[in-house]
Amino acid sequence: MKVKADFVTNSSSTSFVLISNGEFTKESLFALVGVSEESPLRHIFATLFECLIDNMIPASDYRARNYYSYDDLVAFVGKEFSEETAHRVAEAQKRGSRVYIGELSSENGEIQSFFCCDSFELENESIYLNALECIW
Amino acid sequence: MLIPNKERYFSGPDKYLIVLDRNCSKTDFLRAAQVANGNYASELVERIYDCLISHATDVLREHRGYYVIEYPDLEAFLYWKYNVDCEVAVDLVGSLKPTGFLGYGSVYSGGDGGIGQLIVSEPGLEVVNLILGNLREDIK
Repeated sequence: MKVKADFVTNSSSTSFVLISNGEFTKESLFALVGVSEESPLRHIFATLFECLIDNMIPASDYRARNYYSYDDLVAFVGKEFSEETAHRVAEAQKRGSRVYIGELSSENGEIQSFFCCDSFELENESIYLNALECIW
Repeated sequence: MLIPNKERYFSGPDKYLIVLDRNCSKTDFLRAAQVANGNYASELVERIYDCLISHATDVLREHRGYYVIEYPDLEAFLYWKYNVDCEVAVDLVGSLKPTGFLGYGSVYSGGDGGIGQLIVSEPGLEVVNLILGNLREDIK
């Protein structure tokens, strides 16, 4: 659960960083979160996948569009997320992995609203997903 | 079976009744949810379990221990103590197995507001009822 200490409104949005070593697919998200084919939770995570895909763009485009005052992507992520996440992004760039940034909103359905307000950091051998911070 | 209070069967929109064929452990619940241990999905399932079962009042124990003289019938107890609609109470008691568990609680009583909100949503309720359905299959 994220806690906001200053002015609180009825809606919120949260940002995420996603690093993928290959194509980011629904199956790769299912493997990341640990749901089997028959799991009752599969629908919820399928919706999360759609939300992520719909709302993420390549991180360099995101910085250029919204945060061009930063020198580069790593500086931007270090300032707006964390130094540790920036380090991961730098390593991902060296490897040639895909780095995306996006936002989830509490205004776009019950499932997206839940994941928007939940706080999680997930990692396996092919994907890193950081939705720990409520930045914007 | 999870009965949320959307239809105003009993007091409070966050209140629910849960019917199980027997008391189930967190391990049983995780197995019924078919998620791998130690992942985000299993963490969510554990939070659902804590929200619905760990923090629920054991209604049968409460009835037997404190109220059975005043309300010999469980249906009447559910009606007077928890304001459960008469028809719902009769159906509910009729569906209870001798080994059954009947829990009552608020989805917010464990302090996990996010998961509480998810459980009372339409997709969340569907997930919980699918897990409870699998749980029944496992018990058979």
